Amino acid sequence: MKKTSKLVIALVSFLLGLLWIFPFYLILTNSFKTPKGIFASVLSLPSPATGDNYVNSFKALDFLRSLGNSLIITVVGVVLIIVFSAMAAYALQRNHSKISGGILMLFVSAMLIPFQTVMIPLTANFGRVHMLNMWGLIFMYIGFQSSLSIFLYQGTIASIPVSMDESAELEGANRLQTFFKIIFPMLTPITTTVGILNIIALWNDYLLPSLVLPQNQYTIPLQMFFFFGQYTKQWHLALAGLALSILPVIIFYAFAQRYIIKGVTDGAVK
Amino acid sequence: MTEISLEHIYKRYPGNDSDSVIDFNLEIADGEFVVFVGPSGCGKSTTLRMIAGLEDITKGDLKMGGKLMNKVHPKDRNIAMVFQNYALYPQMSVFDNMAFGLKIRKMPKADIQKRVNDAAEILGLTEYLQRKPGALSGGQRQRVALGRAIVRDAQLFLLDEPLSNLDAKLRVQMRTEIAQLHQRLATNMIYVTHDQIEAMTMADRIVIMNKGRIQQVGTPDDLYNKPVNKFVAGFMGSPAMNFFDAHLHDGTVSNGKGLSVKVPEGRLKTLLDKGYNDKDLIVGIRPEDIHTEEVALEAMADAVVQADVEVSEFLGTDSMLYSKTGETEFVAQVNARDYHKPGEHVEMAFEMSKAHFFDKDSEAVISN
Repeated sequence: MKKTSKLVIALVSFLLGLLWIFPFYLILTNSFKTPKGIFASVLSLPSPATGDNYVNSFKALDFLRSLGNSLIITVVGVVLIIVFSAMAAYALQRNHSKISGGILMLFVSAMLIPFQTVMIPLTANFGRVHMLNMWGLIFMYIGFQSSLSIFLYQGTIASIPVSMDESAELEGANRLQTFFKIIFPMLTPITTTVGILNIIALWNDYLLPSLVLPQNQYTIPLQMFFFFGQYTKQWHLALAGLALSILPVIIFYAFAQRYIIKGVTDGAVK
Repeated sequence: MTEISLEHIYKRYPGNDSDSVIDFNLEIADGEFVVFVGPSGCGKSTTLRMIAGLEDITKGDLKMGGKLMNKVHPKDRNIAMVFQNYALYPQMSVFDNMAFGLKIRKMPKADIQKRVNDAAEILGLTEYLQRKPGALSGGQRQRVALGRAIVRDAQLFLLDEPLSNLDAKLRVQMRTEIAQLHQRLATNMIYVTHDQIEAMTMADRIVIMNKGRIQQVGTPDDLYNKPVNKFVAGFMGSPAMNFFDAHLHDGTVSNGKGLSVKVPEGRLKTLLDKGYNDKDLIVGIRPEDIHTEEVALEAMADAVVQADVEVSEFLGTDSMLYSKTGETEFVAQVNARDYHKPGEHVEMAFEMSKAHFFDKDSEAVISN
């Protein structure tokens, strides 16, 4: 009984795995085909295989620039989100006043407001102050993402005894030193979770950047639509571009795998 | 040299309609080991935190070395504190934990090194300096917390129930270590505990508190043998003192529930002088002042009760007899050789010359 159920689970997992990996198979194989090859057979392996798509796609997309844009927006954005929301959560959690409770409620309830309801007035207002660029975008991200981040942080901070702060205070540390030397390092697990959630959100975001960014600051997801015109779709180049765009994520994952799994599971049980 | 004085200190938390600490007055001499003891919620930790500066003082003056400290920032009070949960920084090594305060104060590196090493030496932590607190046992963590206080060379040590997270054996061991440490450093220490045994064993002086008020200040001997009221008498000592609501008539106290013993001449005179003849009062007698030996029964023939043992605990040198005479329950602590099984009928002598008498209404002592 036990053996058969294990077998069934293994089989289902295997099939699910196949299903998951299938799109990647499509992207990867077809990115090496000529346009003709793609239309001849989508599922078959590339013959003849050609790397030209990658070279052409790389050039056409101005890949390094869009990669740079994506990196700047994601790294600067996530770092600022982490720093600001951890500090805000610390202040809100440690300050037991009605006002801080109210502010926290405001942040939490802000999570319920759909992005689409604010996006038009937001971009209009940002346009008025000439901030429709990547710095304006980062600024918006800090606003949009800090609700969830503050919420996650304040739960963890609540579990850190106040005596930690008091001990540091008696030893002569000021508020900032207490936060950055004592509290923030203790938040590493949740920082990982917050970091990953935000990296995913910012790296993959399409809608907001499409409203805000000028063409020369396009991120990778925006740039991917370069090959999809109204009347033509250059699948061979688009797929090569997609494969390229996945690459940084895979490299990131390979390096950060240990922390991602830890961060995600930590977040799950806390 | 630091004398600390607390003058008419009050604490009221915002939103509360009563004071948590009421009219707290205390002078602490230089180098003294003072223990605040009392049940939870009695205000002892609050008082300690006011001395540390972690809580504002609502009313009254806190002075150290003659200087008013009410508004001085905690970091400028030259105080080191050991917390109940140790408050060690988990991401830092033992060395860094102990050095943190010194680094913040920008002490030269060589001095830090020396101070931490010296403290580690005293506390037997030298080989653990590079470990993180997570890799230490409870007792070692406790030592690190003490070490962090020692390196600071503070004028006052505050210890907030530092031993309550340790197991019983370790607690006894650390108790001695802290006492030795105090002798070695000769700094003022204020130690908060709810454990009267810790208070008795470590203190130069004990401050016993209840419901925000100081009940009594004195040496362990004072508090044990000359309690000023029923609360102190009942709190100090384990097992606790036996109390009986009784009536004094004709030189005898009786409670109408089976207990009736004669009060010895000298004690009786005090009671009569204070006008307690034919009045209700509370009689307190410690378990060790109830005897079962033949000699005692003969010597105190007019204070012997017929008791039935209900539960008996054998403790090696002593045994505790939870007994009943009529409807009156009490505990007797007798020599282990006088062990009696539950259900046995035993004659017991109350050594009334050592009894304590309290007023029924005010519960203040009439005669010790």
